[in-house]
Amino acid sequence: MTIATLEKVAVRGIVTVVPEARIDNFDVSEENLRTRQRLIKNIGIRYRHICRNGMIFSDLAQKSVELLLEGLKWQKDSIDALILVTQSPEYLIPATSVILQDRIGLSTNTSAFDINLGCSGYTYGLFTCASMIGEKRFRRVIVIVGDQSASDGSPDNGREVLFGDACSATALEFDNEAPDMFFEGNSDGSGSEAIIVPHGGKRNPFNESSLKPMLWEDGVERNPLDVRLDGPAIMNFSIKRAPESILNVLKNSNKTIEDIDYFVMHQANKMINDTIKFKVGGNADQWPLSLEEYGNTSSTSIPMTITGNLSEKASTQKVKWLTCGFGIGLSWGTLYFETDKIYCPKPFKIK
Amino acid sequence: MDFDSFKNEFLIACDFIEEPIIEESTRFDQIADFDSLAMLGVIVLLETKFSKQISGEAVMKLETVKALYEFATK
Repeated sequence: MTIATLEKVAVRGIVTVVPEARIDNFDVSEENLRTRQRLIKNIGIRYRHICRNGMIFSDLAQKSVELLLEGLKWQKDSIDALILVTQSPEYLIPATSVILQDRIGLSTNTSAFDINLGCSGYTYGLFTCASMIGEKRFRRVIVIVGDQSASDGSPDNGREVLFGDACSATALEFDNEAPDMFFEGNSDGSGSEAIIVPHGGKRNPFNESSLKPMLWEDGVERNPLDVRLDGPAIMNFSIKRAPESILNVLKNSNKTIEDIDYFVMHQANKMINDTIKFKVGGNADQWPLSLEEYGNTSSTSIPMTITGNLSEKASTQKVKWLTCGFGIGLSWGTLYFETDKIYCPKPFKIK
Repeated sequence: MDFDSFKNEFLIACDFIEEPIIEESTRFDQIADFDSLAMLGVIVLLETKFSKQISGEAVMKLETVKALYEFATK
């Protein structure tokens, strides 16, 4: 397996936005409280932000880029490419990134395309964008990642308490002096049904049955346009593949666990994240969690943890990050990168 | 690890609200609160304490806590 080395690319800034509205997972009836307390204790998720009143994911995406450009004082016509990693597009077609180019007011000379990935998306997004940057390539690229996955009132306990809506934008720039990044990407399509929305694509086009609730083999009633999660399969995949990949990138980049300031994982749930930490090693301070405040925010969860937990560190110090995203696909990627006093404000809450 | 120690680890992993009485012959489908969260706890227990991977279906096929103990410790 090749580990890709990315040279002369610097991360300049990371901005994360969430909708102001949020759900408290403890907000259930008295009769359901003990069950919910047990669930929250084990998955580690108390609050989840959610789009309300017509807000959709692309509104978060637009705001995240505008705030990033404003914070960095970058001119809009200096952006060479705008890449969006999401599974919450505004339409099936055209690509949401192209719509955002216009809405944000970027030049028509801006390259724009979407990448269809979920929880592994931040590592793949940074890798893809960093690959586009070089002396004779692009100079400034923005990568947006995120999803609108939060639900409220779903009978599916497996996802009802897990997901929060969020979006993040990261600015990358050509820099002769930038330290190397290292990336490993992996895929296993044999697990494609572990996390899936069965209807709505070309395989099972939307039809009258798509909105009819049906009882699935896991005993949960949901309609075929709802996301279906196979919890035990995802657990097995995550606690096996993520540690393997992290240790592989460390080994192939000649780094030790002690060399890494922070292991920032996709925030899946506390049971998964604690097990990955247990298998890789290091001390608790190296493994930040943002689950309690934001939940599982899909591809945003890595930059959410950086901005939510480590904003001051990233803004004032050099930091060595080892990030790993894993989930739907099945897809997983591990990315090592360093930052040096970047623009990294706390997450913005927008109305 | 003897069965009593394993039983204690099993109960911690499942984090039941009302702790059931567990015997060697107790079947998973007899434990009222053996839900998806308990299953995840069992998977984590086997991975972290016994370095064993097991799917949800495989746990149910083992049927009893004793069989799970033997799988974990063999």
